[in-house]
Amino acid sequence: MAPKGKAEHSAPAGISPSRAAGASGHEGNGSVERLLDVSKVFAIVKKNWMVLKSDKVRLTMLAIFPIIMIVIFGYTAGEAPKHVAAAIVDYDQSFYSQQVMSALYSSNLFSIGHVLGSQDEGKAMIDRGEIKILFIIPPGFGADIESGHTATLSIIVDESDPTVAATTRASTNAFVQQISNSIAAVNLQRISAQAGLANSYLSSASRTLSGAYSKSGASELDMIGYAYTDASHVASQTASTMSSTIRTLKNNMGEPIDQNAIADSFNYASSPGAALYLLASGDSQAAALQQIGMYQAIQGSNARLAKDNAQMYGAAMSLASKSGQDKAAMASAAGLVGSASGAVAQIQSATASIPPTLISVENIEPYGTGRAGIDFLIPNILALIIFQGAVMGLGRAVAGERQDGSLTRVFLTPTSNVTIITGTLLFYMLLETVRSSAIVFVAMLLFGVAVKGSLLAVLVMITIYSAGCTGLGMILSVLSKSQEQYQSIAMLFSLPVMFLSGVFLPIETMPAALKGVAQVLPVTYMSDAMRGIIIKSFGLDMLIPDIVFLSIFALATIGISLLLFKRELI
Amino acid sequence: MTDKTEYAIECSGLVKKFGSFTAVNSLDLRVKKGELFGFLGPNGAGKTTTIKMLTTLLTPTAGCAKVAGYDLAEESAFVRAKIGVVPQEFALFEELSPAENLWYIGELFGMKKDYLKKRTEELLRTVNLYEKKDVRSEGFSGGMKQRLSVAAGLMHTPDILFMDEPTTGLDPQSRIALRELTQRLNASGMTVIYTTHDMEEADKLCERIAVMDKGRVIALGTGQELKRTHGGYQRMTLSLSRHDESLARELSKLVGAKEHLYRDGRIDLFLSGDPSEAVRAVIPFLSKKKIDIHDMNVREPTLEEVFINLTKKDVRD
Repeated sequence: MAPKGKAEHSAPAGISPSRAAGASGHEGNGSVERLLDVSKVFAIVKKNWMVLKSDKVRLTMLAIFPIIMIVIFGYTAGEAPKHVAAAIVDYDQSFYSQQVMSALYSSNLFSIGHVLGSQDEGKAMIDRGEIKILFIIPPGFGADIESGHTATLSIIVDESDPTVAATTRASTNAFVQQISNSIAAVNLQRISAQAGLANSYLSSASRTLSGAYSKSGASELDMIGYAYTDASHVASQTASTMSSTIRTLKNNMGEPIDQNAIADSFNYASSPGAALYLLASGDSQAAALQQIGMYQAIQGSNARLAKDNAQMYGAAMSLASKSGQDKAAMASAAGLVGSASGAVAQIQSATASIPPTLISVENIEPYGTGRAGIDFLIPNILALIIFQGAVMGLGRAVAGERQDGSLTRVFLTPTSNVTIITGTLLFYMLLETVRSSAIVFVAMLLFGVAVKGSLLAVLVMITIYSAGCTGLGMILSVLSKSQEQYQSIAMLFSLPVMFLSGVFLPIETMPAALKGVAQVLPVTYMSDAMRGIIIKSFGLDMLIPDIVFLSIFALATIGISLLLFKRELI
Repeated sequence: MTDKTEYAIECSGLVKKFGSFTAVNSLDLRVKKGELFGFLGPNGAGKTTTIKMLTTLLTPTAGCAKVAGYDLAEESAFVRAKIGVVPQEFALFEELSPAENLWYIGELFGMKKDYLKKRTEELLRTVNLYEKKDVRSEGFSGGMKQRLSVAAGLMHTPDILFMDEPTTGLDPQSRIALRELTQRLNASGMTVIYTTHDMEEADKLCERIAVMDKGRVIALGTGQELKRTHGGYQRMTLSLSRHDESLARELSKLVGAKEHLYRDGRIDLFLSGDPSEAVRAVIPFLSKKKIDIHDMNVREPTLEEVFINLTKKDVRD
């Protein structure tokens, strides 16, 4: 072999192969591969940051995107629609149907343009897009209320726009609850008046009788006295309980029901803490319970009043049968007792006509008037943005570096897979955590979102969740040969999650199967946990199920990405 | 370290299959230490696959190899410590400066801070990028990027440097600069494995050349050996004042050419014998016919012709 003339000049500095260089390393060149090399992990994080930092466009986009997102959602998605075009068909034409109609007219949720003669006319208007909702007061509506049955107000909602339909339905539910509250209050007031009346009759009867028979010392008088005292006590107690209930009902009518509290009762399965909280402080449910209790109390007092009344009547009759008594006083007292008896009977019929559950909490959907606040949406937006950021953003991480060959160089260094994946994950996790914290900050600043719980808890949840989402992105990145391939696979995850996150479409309007899927998505667990912290000031101890689930998600995705990460290039 | 063997690379029966496609078919090869060894072949011949196997980036389907004295399969970490790679792609970060890129590679080699800094400076001077050490590499020319890539490959002071088509897509000046750099590295004692599909480059640069096609080494030797063995005939080209097909036939007969070609007013004669004898015969023949010679030359076969002879196809097919 005739080697080409070796250059005469000496080797340039630094390029002569060091015969000393071995796998054991030489001055500073420690080529030992550790399973997890912390200083290399930090080098990978720093490299990624340096690359990102010098790509001003990408950096700006990453920073601006969540802000744009939160601003758009803040101004659009939060508000429940108001002045929804509506029409009424009144088949009942009763006192109660008039009440409902006047309430609908005065509500700012609906804009009643037409009172129609038939349901078909209303449907035609929906078809033409002139109204979004049709209220139908069926025949017998008023009679049902009078006779103590739950009256039904029918609605037909334009389903062509599911978002509007869902919010409108929910607004209607909330609104109908207000109407029934006001009817209940009127009923209670009537009962209260009757009780007062019965009481005053009994009091007059007692006075008349005791005046007439004060000297006789008949045992019947004692009996009448006892019965009266008891009746009077019961009546006053009932009156005071009733007035406090009426006050509560009126309070509830004055402001919208706390829909967030009710909303949480729907997914308490995923967040038992939320359910506990609700039982302790959910105003509307408590009010409903109180009301039910109230009716039971009225029924009980009523029975006692009736018994007292009968005793008084019996005693009066017994007195009357005795000879030589004051006939005029006797007749007067008997009349009064009779009137009291009538009043008690009135109470009896009034309480009998009140359905035990006038307010049906189950029927109210979470997207009512109370949804208005961005507070409700911010947990979902946050959960969604982190997911999207991580799942759409890791194309560059492994797939991109595989594509441009820079991963090849890393493979040629003594750097373990665990170190590569850990460093890359850590960088993207930090990136998402910073971005999400920025979202919370912007929401607080621009929309006055108050984080009632601790910011530390928010940060902990964001970190765990980011790890999981980044892990998922990493799986996709590890599986993809190029960034283009990554994008198309990532889309497969990103789009469905976007629609199942509850940010764009209410989960409640989805078919049961999709709803089921939405319930087990990490994005849902994160939304629940964030809602707990931001709105209900949950501590981390209340979020243990969410933390456990999301931690499993993170460990699983990171583990799988490690298993799938192959050093071979093709 | 004592030399375990005189060979930088020894492989036998190396095979790489992708599904049913055989990219490299039973490769047997020995490269001596300090050699500048070339793999020559068209795109898809299996050069890059061979390099990837020898640099531990791909696992061979069959066969075995020793690189820098270490077994490719059993001691891949030791192999990696001894080899540097300049991949076909830039494979560094355009967003980063040369110094930052080398810092990253150095960190992954676990270099200590001071040494890393010193080594970076040294190498950037070697590849003539010291002036640009803090400039983002995005705007670099192909040649500058390739030189940075070489520096990255040298970061851990390897014994063997693999360069996969490093001059592809470069302008002539950059090619020359990179070839010079390659020669300097080789002169300093480094074994260089160089792949190219440029025949001229392989001929000029490499001591020995393995011609590859369809996953096989179809010829191996120095440029001279290859041309002598597989190049075929010397070619005499004549440009004359008068010319036609019958004159070409007469001349061919006169010099005893194996073949002749009459094209674009030029006559090509493929000589089997001594070219100087042919020259001595042609000149009096033409002057007797009063035909002027505008141009006349005899040249050796090129590697391109070697390749065509070996594969019966044009190299850029």
